[in-house]
Amino acid sequence: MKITVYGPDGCSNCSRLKEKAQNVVEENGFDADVVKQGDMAKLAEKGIMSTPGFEIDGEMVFSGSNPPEDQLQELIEERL
Amino acid sequence: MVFQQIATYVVEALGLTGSLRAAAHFWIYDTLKILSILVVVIFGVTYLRTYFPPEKIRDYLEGKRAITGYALAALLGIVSPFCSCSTIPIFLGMVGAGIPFGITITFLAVSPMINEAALVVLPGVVGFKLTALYAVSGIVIGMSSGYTLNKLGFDRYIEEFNFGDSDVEIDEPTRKERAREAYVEAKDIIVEIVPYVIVGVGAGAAIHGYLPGELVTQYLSGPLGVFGAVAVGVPMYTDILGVIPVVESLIGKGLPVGTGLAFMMSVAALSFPQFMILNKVMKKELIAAYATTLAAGILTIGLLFNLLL
Repeated sequence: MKITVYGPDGCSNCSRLKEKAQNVVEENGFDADVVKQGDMAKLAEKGIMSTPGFEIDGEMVFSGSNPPEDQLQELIEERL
Repeated sequence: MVFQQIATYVVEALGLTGSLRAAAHFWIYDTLKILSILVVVIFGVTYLRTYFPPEKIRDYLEGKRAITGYALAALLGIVSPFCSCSTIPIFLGMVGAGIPFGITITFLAVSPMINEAALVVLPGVVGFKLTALYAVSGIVIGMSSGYTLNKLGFDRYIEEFNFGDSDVEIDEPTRKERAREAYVEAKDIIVEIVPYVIVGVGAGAAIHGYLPGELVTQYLSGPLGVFGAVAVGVPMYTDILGVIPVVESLIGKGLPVGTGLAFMMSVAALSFPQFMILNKVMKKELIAAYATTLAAGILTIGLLFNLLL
């Protein structure tokens, strides 16, 4: 599984979401890579206007919010 | 007021006198005042903003007549998020949706120049008249910059990219979820702004306590002062809320109002980190033209106000 957090450099909210997703993956032993994509053009291609964007295996799961870890865990488990 | 009392209590407890006392009092009082206003305003605005996601705003702006579009874009710029890292994706989304170029530039320009927190802090610091002047000039500069760049055909310098359609379904959040989002965002913003406020108020305090007024009236009061203010302000990167106390002190020492406004605006509107992000989506010609029209607008406003006020 590949989890991509879309957020430009300088957006601390976005970096935090990436860290949280990384925590959830490690704590639960999910087989997933978490990466952050900061390229504005990529964000535009994905149609993201509200940062951060949260994508799992090519599916944009949400954007513009920063849910707590238990919700992230649910969202990831649903797609395992 | 309680902050006044706290500041007085602290300087007395430390046994400070003279200029040091004045500077320390200013520092404590202004920091407390600005930070407490910020906490309330930022939480309030981030909560309200959850009702107006950028996707909705974009859809609303589509197909509006030019003049309405420009005015709306300026208003949206005021209530937009604080970080250019958040406004640039909104700008791109608007461009991608085919909203006229001048309108999108207006949004991009007004957004860093005027923000709601500054509008609430400013009246207490520099008075209502100056706050109103600041807001109106910022809007006029943003709109004229958008209009000019559009007329000159600068839209061809936006990098080509495919703006995708986001397939995210946005559920209507509950009040509790909105409050939580607002809390998280507001906390982030405040943590980011605090150092700028403390340093800015510190600089303001030093000017207030130590800078001789004659230096300001002698060297910074002519028309060249406005050019100087813009030349120093553009490369400077700090939050507008960190600049307000500096300008407050300088105006108190006799800095002409137009020069003060020009300094505040140039610090807020233009910065290298913003150019770095824009560089990914705009060609250099457009960034240069964007910076030039904004700087020219700020200079004009500064000179004009020094002449009229």
